[in-house]
Amino acid sequence: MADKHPRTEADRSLSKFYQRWLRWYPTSFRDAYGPGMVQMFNERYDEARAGAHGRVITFVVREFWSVVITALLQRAAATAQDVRYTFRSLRNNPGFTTVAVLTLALGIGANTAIFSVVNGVLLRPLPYQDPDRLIRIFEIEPRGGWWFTFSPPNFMSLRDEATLLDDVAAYRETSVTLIGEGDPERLTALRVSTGFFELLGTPLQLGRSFLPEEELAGAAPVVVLSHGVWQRRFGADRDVIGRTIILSDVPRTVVGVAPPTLRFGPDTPELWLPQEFSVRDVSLRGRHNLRVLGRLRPGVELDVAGQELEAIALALAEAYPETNAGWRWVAAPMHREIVGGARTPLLMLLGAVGLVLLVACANVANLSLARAESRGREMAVRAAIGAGRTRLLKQLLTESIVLAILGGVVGFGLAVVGTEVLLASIGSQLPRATEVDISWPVLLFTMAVTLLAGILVGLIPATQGIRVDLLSALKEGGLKGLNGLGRRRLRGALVIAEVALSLILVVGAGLLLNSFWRLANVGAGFNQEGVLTARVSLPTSKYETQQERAAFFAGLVDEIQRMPAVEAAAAIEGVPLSWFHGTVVTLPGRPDENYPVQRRHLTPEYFRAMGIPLLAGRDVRETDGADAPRVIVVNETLARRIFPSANAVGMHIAWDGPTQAEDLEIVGVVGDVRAFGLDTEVEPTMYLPNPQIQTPESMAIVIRTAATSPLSLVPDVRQAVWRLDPDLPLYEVATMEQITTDSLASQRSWLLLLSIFAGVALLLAAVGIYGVLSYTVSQRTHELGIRLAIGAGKPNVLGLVTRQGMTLVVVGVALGTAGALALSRVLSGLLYEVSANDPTTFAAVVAFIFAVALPACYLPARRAANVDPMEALRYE
Amino acid sequence: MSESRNPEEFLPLSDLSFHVLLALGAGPSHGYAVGKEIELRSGGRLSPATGSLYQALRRLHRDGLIEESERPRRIAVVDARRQYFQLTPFGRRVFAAEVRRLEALLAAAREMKLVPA
Repeated sequence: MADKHPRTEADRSLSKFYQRWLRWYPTSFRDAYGPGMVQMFNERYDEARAGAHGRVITFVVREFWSVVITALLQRAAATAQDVRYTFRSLRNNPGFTTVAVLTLALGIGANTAIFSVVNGVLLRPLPYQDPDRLIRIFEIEPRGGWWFTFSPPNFMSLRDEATLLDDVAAYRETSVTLIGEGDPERLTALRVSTGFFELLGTPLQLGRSFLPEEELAGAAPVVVLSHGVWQRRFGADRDVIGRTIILSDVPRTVVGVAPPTLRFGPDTPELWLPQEFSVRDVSLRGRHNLRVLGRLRPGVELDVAGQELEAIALALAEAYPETNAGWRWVAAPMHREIVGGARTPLLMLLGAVGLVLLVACANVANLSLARAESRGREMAVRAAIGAGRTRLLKQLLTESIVLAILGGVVGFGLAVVGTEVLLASIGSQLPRATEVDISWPVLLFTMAVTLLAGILVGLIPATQGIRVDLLSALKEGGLKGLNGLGRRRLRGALVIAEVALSLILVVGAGLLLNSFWRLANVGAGFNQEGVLTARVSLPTSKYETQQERAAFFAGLVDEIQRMPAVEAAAAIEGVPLSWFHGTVVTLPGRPDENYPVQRRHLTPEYFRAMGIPLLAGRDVRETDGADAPRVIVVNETLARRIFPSANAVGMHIAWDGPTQAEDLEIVGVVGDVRAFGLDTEVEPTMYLPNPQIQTPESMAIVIRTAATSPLSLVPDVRQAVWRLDPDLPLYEVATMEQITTDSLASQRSWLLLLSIFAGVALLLAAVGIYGVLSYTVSQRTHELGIRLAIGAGKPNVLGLVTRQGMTLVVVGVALGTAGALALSRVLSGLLYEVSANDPTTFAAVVAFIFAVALPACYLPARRAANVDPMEALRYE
Repeated sequence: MSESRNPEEFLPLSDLSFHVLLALGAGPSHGYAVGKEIELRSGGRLSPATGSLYQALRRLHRDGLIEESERPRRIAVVDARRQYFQLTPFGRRVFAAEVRRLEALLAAAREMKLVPA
């Protein structure tokens, strides 16, 4: 064939490139047909060169593309063959397959379940428009540095002056009573300023949101219903707009209905009300009761907006020194504010299930190794007929990936159930728990984890399974001898790894358990047994004056005290572990020294009802009436802090009260009570009698009873309330025992979960030890028989095998302890009065691990010792 | 290779496979020549790229319808890299079976007057 166009350097390069391009094909194909293909390509290329230039490019593209496609098809066909083979192999080994699949399913399922929670709570953006532009804004109180809510006038200044924010909105939780549409019902509500819904970017499904004029008291009262309430109480009636409903004695017109997708806060409110700032609200710059949201202007960064906020706060401090001096403003991303507290425990759980997966993979890898030994002959035959090393490796990897996929499918099913169970148990502790579901990121995660597991499980045994000594394998029918030692070492190493990893998990669970036990036994300061509590809220429209409210509560307590089985009863604005009401007091004549304290308004006999000891002086009495001198009872911490050297009884403190400055005389000192949580500090607290200074609109009734079940009193208490006012519902009914237990709920949940994972890992590790030792015993039956025959007693053989097992455990424990010491600091945020390296916990855990490992070693050892020497000698 | 296999199992042949067997019918040939022959016979309809052709060759090779042949002596050009293929006896039988099948179909079509006799 005459060559009209001589080949250039470029042509030769292309040819070489084509040859390299053939790497797309499997090696076997390349070896068989490569040279022929290159030759054909060259000849066709020459032909194409002779034609139009454009034709050459088309030709080259087509050629290279055809290689890729046909190569991929071939590889796919080979893989399909491997997969078919794998299925056959697995079907012939149902025991191995079941155990391996279930073990992997456990690991993959646990990971998926936890990740679905992590995804819903931490990773998913908040369900609002452009949620990363939303911020929470706080006022920082100058003395304690606490982050406070806003006062209404400050909020309005913020709204007027902030230029770098698109909009701001204020909200405040409250609750109202719905009457007239069935039983009176207490509904949660959120008072929001104008533009709240627009700021979030969720339009209402019916009607309109609030108008600016409705933000002020005196406007016609309106309400927006939540989707839930609209369905439940109003039958999803589309004509509900314009209807009037009575909420806490105020007739309100329904102007809108929120969509079901609007979620806000841990419990989305059932009703939305406008702020209704009164003239008084607008004048009280010092009364902080509004939470504030903002939206950053497009293009404005948080720190820049933060600087503007600081400047505005400074200007206000100068303009209004009595209320604003020293107060600063700060903004934080809304997402972090909501989920921040859950980040550490969730990530800890994610790490824990990761470790469980590693243990599961190690277990399955061990099983595969054991199986590989019996498949030695099969491997040898395949090698003999020409399957290359890579091909065998691919076959092993295919098997492990198929196992992993089966495990992944089962695990995914487990995860779907597991996530439900998870949410049922810890859902109340988690922010955004309602947004957790199985969605695309979770599916992708499952697939990634499955793939990882498959590769891990396949690679480890694969490194051993390939070096096949054909001759010896064919002769002995198994992979003994040459690779035996290497394989045994690898199996031992895997067991050590499993022990180490499970130790880390058990240490974590142990630390949490220790912490939890301490927390549960911390003195709460009151006697929680036999105490019932419930809340009553008085609508201000009906009980306008403080006198009316004080009279109601005094009357109610009186009624209840007359009930049989009631030992003591009282009312207080908030029970321990659940209420925050802070203020600041000073000493008379020393206005510069400020003491932040908690304040609680109450009726007499509260301390007796709650079981709080009276340490000095007296309780408040009925004679501490509206016209009597102002008195208070304080707790130990306040007495110690403000009057360290003197007896606090008889001393005076000064307080800037709601209407005027007050001079308060301390008449009694009581024991400390934890106000917020069992793991928080005790706050100095002052207790004020109801008729004086102020009576709250809503109070908790506290009843001490000798009855075995305090809740049995509830119907009678309800009747007592209704005798005084038939329109008042009783809500937040609970026993103090429940409240105390619930306050520990989140710690209990994390502890439970981590313990489950640790338990699973430890169980897998124990099974792994048992498996390895069993196998070794069966391999060494001949040798053990000889030992027994020549007179080594059973204890000798027992000791031999047990020692072998315990050596693995000891090494694993040593490695695991080192790892745990390094990793446990992750938990320090969750521990109460327990150091992350607490020696007692570590020692207990190590002992526990040995206790679990011992039977796993002993059982195979006992089997070994009971080997019949004659049988054993005949074996082989 | 046992000859007890039934040629019918390989029917119908794919378009490309048929043409490959046809092209090899005259005698041993190499990839490039087979490709040109196919292009000619199909009137330009089939113009397989190297990869596609070799995929077909491999399948036929694996199924035992063709085999590699020594460089046929009658071709003077010595080219170490050319890979020559030829029909196996079994391959001939399969090809013949396919032709018979097509002839039967053609006869049926003629019988129904769908094509001129």
